[in-house]
Amino acid sequence: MMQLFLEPVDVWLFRDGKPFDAGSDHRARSLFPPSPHVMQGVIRSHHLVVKGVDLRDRQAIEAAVGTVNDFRGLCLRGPFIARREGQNGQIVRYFPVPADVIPDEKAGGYRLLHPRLRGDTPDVLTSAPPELPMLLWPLEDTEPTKKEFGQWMSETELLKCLQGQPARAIHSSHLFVHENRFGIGLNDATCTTEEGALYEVDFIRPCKDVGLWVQVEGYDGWPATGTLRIGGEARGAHFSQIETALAWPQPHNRLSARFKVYFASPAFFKDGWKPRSGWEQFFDGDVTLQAVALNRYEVIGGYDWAANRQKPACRYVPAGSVYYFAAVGDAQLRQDVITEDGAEIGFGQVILTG
Amino acid sequence: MFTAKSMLFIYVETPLHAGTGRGLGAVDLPIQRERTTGYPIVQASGLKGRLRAAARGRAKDSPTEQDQQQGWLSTKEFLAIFGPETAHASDYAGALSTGDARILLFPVRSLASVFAWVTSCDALARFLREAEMVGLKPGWPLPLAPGKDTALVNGTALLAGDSVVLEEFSFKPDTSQAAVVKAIGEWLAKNALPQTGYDYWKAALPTKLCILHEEAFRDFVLYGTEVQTHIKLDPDTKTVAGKMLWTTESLPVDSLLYVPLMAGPSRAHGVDLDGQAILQKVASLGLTRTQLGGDETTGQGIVALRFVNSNGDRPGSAATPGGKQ
Repeated sequence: MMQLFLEPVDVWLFRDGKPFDAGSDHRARSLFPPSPHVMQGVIRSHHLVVKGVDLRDRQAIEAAVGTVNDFRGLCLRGPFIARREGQNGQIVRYFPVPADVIPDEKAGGYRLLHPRLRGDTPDVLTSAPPELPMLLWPLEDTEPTKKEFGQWMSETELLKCLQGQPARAIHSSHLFVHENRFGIGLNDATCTTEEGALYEVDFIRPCKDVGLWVQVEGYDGWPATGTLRIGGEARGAHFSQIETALAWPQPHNRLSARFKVYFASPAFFKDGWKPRSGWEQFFDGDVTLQAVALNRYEVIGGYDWAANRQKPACRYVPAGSVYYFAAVGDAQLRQDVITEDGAEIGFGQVILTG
Repeated sequence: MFTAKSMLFIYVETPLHAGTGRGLGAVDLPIQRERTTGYPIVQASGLKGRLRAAARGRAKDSPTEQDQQQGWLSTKEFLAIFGPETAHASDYAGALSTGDARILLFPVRSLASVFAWVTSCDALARFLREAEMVGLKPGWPLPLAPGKDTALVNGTALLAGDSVVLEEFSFKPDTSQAAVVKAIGEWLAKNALPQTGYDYWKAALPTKLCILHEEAFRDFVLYGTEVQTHIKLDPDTKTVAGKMLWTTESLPVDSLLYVPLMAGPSRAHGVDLDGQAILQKVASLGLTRTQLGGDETTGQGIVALRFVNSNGDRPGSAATPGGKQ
């Protein structure tokens, strides 16, 4: 297993799933952090180079790293935004603010919403499905203020927040900024602008000491440091293997009677926000869903270079969403990911708190 | 999946306007800048487009052996290096990747010696990181950062009395790290300035080099650029056409920028080039000068190029000069 810290050579471009041809579709937006789909492509492509595989030999490529849906022994965690902090440059991971909190300036940070039975709550109209027995409400002494978009928490603050303690977040501009760039298409022959070829691309420029953290299992032979190709426009990233590996917050062996699941990376469920075959596939024991704090869905697609076609764009439960569960008797998480697709490459990474 | 890297130095010979396309500040047409630092850049897309255009003029379907020795590419090699045409963009990825061109030395008016090349520890540290990435070994250490009103210099060339006066700002000269400043200037003179026709400037660089506090450097690159005012004349009345007054910002002459070039193996069938060979082909195009940015027909944006690989030599020097001059 190796953990990598990726830092940009200059800027990065991780396009969302919307069409872009620099003509009629003239605006390209970036997602950050990129989806696990992007990262698996980056890691597998670089592994081909590390192993000296001919990039034009499809059979050799398949033998080395598998196919579009067969990842062989690869297992990824991340990518997560991370920053070198302190005098020793320790890597600190950053996560989206959980969806089940609201800012309360009087309390000095974010405060949790609390689940209450539907019958205990005032008469409300809600779009929450009737199968959810609980709704999320602020405590009575909370003085909520408007949520600000693009807030991130360090791992320490996130864990405090998930356990109900006041926690602080930082705005995304402390971690990365969007850099919009205009471009034109030039005709080499006439040295004039191509008609209609005026476009705008939204690049990501991580701030100083900010990059991406990713854990890779199943590959070896990588150098301690190097440069790899990542995202759109074949931009570069310096990578370095992290000497002191970061552990992933692990749940207790036995889950408490009431626990919640924070999604640190997007998760795919065949029924949109919930798995089609029930939660039993992820848990041992009797577990029922009680309430959900869900951010707006995230559409993730991509491009399949091997087959030279677009991957289907699907809706994912976004990172930061929180699911509340009740367990009867002994229950435990069967694996540390909850998703119906892409578990090997980093989708559905979860943090559980009781 | 980069397997080879090198560095391209860009020396600005006529004002360079790599524009953003829009401006909300005092200048109507500002230049491209990094979002976080405000440092001037030339975006990779424009740079790669220019290299591609130059290479297209040096590509033919079946170059002879002699052509290839003179830096000509086959059309297949051209496409493998720079990527297929837009209509076939998804066939395979091009092997060459250019970064943004970043500022290393910025010329500022000086009371003594006419102008000084200014830089900062921040700019030098960024350069050192990229130099290390591409395998260059500059061999000089990063100097200790000067104070806000101090300028690290080598010798007395920039001293006006007992100060270094840049534009209307006065700095205390500090020669305690003169050896480092000299080493940086000599290395850049030897490795980064254009190879021919620059003997005078190579000799002058170590004495005209001035390392400032990063905030002072940022202020000079933000506010010390060249701003040209343009008007459009009505051809009948010979007066200014209505509302046709605008200003254009440019990087001044004698700015030095650098670009990391990265390459992986060819993905195009029938072209067997590894990353190192890709960079060698690009350097061997003989592209010693080209034009970047806007206003080409008024002589703007002429730059001298120098390709330097990890061995410190110049792969392009062996090629017969050609391409766009």
